[in-house]
Amino acid sequence: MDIRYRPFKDDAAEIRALDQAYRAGIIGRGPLLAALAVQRTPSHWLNWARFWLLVYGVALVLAGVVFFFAYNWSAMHRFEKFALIEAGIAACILLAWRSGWRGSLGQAFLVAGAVLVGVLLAVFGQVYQTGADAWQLFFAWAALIFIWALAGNSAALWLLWITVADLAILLNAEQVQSRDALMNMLLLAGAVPLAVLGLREVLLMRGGNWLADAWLRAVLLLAGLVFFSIPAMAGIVDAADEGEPLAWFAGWLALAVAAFCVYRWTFRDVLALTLIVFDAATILLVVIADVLFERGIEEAVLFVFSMIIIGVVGGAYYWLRRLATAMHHESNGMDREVEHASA
Amino acid sequence: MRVPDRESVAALTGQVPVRDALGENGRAALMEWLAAARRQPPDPLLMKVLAGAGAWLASLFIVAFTLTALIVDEQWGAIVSGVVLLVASAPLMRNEQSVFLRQMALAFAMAGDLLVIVGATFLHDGALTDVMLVAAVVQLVVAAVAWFFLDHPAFRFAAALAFFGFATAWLIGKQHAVLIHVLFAAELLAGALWFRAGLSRRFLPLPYAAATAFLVTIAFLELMERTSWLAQEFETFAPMPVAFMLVAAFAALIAWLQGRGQVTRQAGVAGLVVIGVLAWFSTPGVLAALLLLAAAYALADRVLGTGAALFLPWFLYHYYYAMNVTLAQKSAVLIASGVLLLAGFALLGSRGRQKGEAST
Repeated sequence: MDIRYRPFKDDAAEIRALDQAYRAGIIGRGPLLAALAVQRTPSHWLNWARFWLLVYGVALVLAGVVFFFAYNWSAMHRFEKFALIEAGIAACILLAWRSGWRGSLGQAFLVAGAVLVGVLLAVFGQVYQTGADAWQLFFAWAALIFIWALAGNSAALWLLWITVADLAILLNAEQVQSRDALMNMLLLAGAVPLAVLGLREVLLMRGGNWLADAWLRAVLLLAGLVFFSIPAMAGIVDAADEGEPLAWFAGWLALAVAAFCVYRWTFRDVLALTLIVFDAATILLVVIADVLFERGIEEAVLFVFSMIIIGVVGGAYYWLRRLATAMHHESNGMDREVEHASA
Repeated sequence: MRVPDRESVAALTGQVPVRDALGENGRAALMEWLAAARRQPPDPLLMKVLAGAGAWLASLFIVAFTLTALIVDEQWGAIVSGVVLLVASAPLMRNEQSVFLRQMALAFAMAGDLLVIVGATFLHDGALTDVMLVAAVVQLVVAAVAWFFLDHPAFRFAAALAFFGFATAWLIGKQHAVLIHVLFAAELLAGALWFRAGLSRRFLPLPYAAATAFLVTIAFLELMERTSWLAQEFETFAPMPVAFMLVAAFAALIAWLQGRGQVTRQAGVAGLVVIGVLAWFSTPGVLAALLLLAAAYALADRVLGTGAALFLPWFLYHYYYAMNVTLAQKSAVLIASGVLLLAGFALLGSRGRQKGEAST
């Protein structure tokens, strides 16, 4: 029996099935709790406790350090600040090396060190009053930890890097760019997670396992869709007023169609398809709302729009359900072919 | 959900505790349901959540339509419209086959609930805190009645959460320290329902709503006037009463796990000691996050687990702005808490290695 703990990967399919059967009213809760008592041994709990003690311990210490600097900001000499942070970074790197770069402990230390790099840059900017904008801090932070992300091969580290890079882009858009450029910057912000996602999927198709965590796909796809959807909606709403190019909408449409094809026929991922379909439903509702409320808010239109929302969302749900069933049958058919071939 | 094969389910349900809990009829029903699920897999949770969000959005427009179509002064009109929508949603919601009808029923139910609350609170001319009390009482009545004939987990969750939200808002407005902690205790007790073997799925949304309300209130606890009478009495940093409640909840969870053989007595005592030390000097948000994580793992509940994982960073963000504790104290609390947890990690690691050496 595998007793390793991995978040969201440790539940046997049988347990999930019992849980779903309970929620569907087929069985009571007693059998589910009894099955958990059988499957969750003290060794499982030991591994669970070790994982979360490590993660929460590191997170709380890091947060405490950030709070500490916030408090002592004015009282500390600048060299004290730099020395403490740099010592922390060095300690994290050393501990990551000693623990092994690929292990959970090593990766936790790498993430901690990467966070401290950002703290160091913030302190540097404050001490020397460089006059740099906030986006430049995040840009430098992203540039400095990029090598760490490459070397660490950790989903958490890549997620940190993507977050920092996107913050740099968004802050640049807010502080520096014009409104038209703001929308283009949102597309750029969306391109960052999508680029990582695209590389991940290509490597997966070729048999690799780079950033193979399933949750990462959903997070990166969601980020990309959100960033591409906002300019698309802005393009639709403003198209009649200022002749804004529909390129933003076309960009979103191309992304949605490409992602749909990949996750429908190559990866057969219902979760990813759910995100894409509901994103499309949201944009459709924005288009309809723009048309309906063009002449102001009228009572009857409010009711009509509520029915349209129900229709669009219900339709998306119904279609997704049929799609999931079809993909399920296709997968079962492929499994039987593999069994026949191996037999 | 990946539907497991018949043999692996039979192996699990054949084990004595599970077999006894299921009974022969239950086992047959389960196998039949799994066979159907292989043909038509259950809908993923995300689909249901997004569909529920869509129904909620539609309900806002229905409410807006109702309020503008009626004469706005007619608060009783809002209440009557709300009741009509609630009653109309019941037969629609029983239709399991039509997604559109169930979505519409959910939207009508949420809109109806909202209209009843809006009408009842507009009728009451008083201070905002009294309005919150009226809203809480009305919501309790609506939720209690509708609970039994509106069979939709999203509605039940929203209705229960709304009650907890109004009650909390009233208590915060009144700055009633004792009653806030009574509400905390009620929410923790509601969470205990998860561990009852006899819990009907009809009542499953209630502990989720209680947990959500508890976590949100905990995050803002530090922002409220300090409710720890110990601290006010002794004028020192002292644990909040809610910390004692969380320790008691942990003790109950550990006892439950020990009773089922999932945790050894030694490990349970060690865990309780760590929690007790944390309760003394740490902030309740850290304890709440750990409790929720442990409950999620004990129940194999991914929704709970996701909420627990997301709660800590969200809590830390709000903790940063707590006004009645200095940043230095907060920093010390967090670092000390983190060091204690890392010490626990190191201890568990060494004990794991000792067990491995002993067994070889």
